[in-house]
Amino acid sequence: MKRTPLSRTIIPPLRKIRRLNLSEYWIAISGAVIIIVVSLMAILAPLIAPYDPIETVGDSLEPPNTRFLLGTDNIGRDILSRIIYGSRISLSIAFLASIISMIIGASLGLLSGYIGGTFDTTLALIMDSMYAFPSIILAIAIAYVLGPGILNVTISIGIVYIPVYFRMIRSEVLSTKESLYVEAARAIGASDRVILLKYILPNVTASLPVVFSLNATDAILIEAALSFLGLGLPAPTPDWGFDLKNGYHFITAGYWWPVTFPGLMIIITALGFSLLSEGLSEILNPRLREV
Amino acid sequence: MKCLLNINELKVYYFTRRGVVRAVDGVSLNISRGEVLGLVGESGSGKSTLGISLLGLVPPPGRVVGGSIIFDGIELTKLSADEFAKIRGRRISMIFQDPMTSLNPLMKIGDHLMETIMIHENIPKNEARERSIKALEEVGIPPERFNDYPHQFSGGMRQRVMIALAILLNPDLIIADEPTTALDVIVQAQIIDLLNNLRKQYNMSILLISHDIGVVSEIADKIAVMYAGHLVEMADVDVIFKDPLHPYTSALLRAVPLIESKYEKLYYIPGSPPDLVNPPKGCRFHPRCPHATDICRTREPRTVSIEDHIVKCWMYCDTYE
Repeated sequence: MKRTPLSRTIIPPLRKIRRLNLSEYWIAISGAVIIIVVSLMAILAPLIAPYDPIETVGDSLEPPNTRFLLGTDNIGRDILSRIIYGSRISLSIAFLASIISMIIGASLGLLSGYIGGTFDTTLALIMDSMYAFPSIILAIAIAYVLGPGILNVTISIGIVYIPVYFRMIRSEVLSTKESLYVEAARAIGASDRVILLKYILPNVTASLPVVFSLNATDAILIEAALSFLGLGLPAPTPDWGFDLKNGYHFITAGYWWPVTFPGLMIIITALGFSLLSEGLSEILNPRLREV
Repeated sequence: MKCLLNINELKVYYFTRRGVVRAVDGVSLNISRGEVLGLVGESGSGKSTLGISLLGLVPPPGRVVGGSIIFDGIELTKLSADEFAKIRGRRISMIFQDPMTSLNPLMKIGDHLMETIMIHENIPKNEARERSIKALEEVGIPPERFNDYPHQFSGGMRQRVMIALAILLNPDLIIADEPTTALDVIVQAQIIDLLNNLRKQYNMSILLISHDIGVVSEIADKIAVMYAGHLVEMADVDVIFKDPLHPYTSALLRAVPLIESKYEKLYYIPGSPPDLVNPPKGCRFHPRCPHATDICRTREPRTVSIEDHIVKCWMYCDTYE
C-alpha cells in the first residue's frame, strides 16, 4: 500500500488554514506572540530577573533608574524582578484554572447532553444558576470560603468558569447526537462509550480553543482582582494583583511606578489572550472572516 | 427458501405530546435468506420506522409496543441493549439515506471500517486493516484511499463506503433505507448494481426501503407496500407490476413518470397521507381511494392472502372468502 502524504491526513480545518495567507491572521498571531513572550518570561524568570523578587535590594520607592529599570517598591524590592516572577503566578493560575474548568465543564456538558432527561435538566439548572452570578462575585465568594493560596485561587477561578464550557459543549452535543453518523455508529453496534469518545467528542471541540483563551483572559483579571482584594496570595509572593494593591497606597503621593508596571503587565497579558481568542474564532469560524 | 426474518403484527408507536403516532400498526412480513424485499410507501408511511425497529434503534419517544420480530430464531423485541449491540453491524447492518452525513467527518474512512470490526471481533489491528481494505475493494474503492477523510469523497463514493461498512462482517440482513435517494440517477444505478452483486455473492437478504418503486423493482424479489402504518399489499415484484390488487399500489404505479408516457400530465394521488395521530376510521386509504365504499369508511379491512399475494382491502375480502 502506498503511504498517504501527510498533507492528506491532516484534519480538514487545519488544511484550509495552511493554504491561506498568514497575514490574514495577524490578530491571532499578535496575541500568540504576546503570550509566548510572557510565558518565556515566566519560564526563564531566574535567568532574566536582575534581583531576588522578595529581597530588599535598594532604597524605598526609588524611581526608575539604571540600577532598577522600573524602580523599587515601598520596601525597596526591584519592581522589574517582581513583575518577571509575578508572571509565573499569573500564567500558571490562568492556565490551570482554565484547564480545570475546561475538563470539568466539558465532560459534564458531554454527559449531560448525551444522557439527557432529568440528569440533564438538573445539571443545566445548576449550571445556569452559577452562570447567573457575576463571575467576580462568585470567585470572591469561593475564594473567601477556601482561604488564600495559589491552589485555592486556582480552584475558585476554575469553578466559576465551569458553566461556560458546560453550556457550549452541551449545546453542541445536543445537535451532534442527532446526526446521522451517530445513528450510523449505533447501527454498527458501537457502545455509548465509543460513540461519545470517537464520534461525538471530536466533533464538539472545535470552539474549545476560543473559549479557552477567552477564559484565560478573565482568569488573569480575576486572579489580579482577588489578590488586589487580599483574597489571593499571601504577602511576599510576587504577584501582579498584590503589587497593584501595594503600590496603590502611594500613588497619591506621586509614586506612579509601583502601580503602573504591574497594571501594564495585567493589561498586556489579558490583551494577549483576548487577541488570541478573537483571532482563533475568526480562523475556526469562517463566517466571521472578512472578505 | 429458509425464512430469515419473521415480523408478526409489529406495532411501533411514537408517544408525542400531540398524541400517539401509530407509525407501524400491525405489520407482518417475512424475509427469506438471500431475498430482497422492497418496502415502498410515501413519506410518513412508517417504512423507515419499521426498518429502524429491526435494529432496536427507534428513537424516543418511539417504542415497540407489540408484535414480534424473530430474526434467525432470536426474538429481537425482547433483547437487552447489550445483546442487541452484538447483532447490530454484525448480523443486521444498515445503509442510510444520506451518505453525505452518515460518516463521522473527523474519522478516516479506514478507521470507520476498522472500528466496526474491532467492536465485534477481537482480532489484531493489521488483520482488521486487511479485511477493511478487502471490503473497500469489493465496493470499488481503491486501497490508497484508506486514510482519506469523508469530505474527500463524492456522494456516490461515500455510499460505497457505507455499503462496505454494511457488508464488512458478512451480515445476514442489510436494511437499506433509501440508499439511492440522495444520489443522481447514474450513481443510483451503480449503487443498486453493486448491492445486487454483493447480495448474490454473499447470499445476504436485503430490506430495501424506498419511496421509488422504480428503483426497488430493479433488485427486489418481492415488494411490500406500506400506507399510513399498515402493510397494504405484498407480492412478487412481477405480480405487483402486472397485477396490483390494492388501489393504492396501482395509484403508486401510475405515479411513476415514464419518458414514453402517454399521459400529458404527471399522475399523482389526490389528497395527502393521513395524520397518524388521528388516522381515518376503517381503511386508512379510503379518503383518497377511488373505489371507497361504506364499509371502507367504517371498518378496517382484514389482510387476505391469495397464494403468495397479500392484500389489505375490502374489495378482496368479499370475493375471496
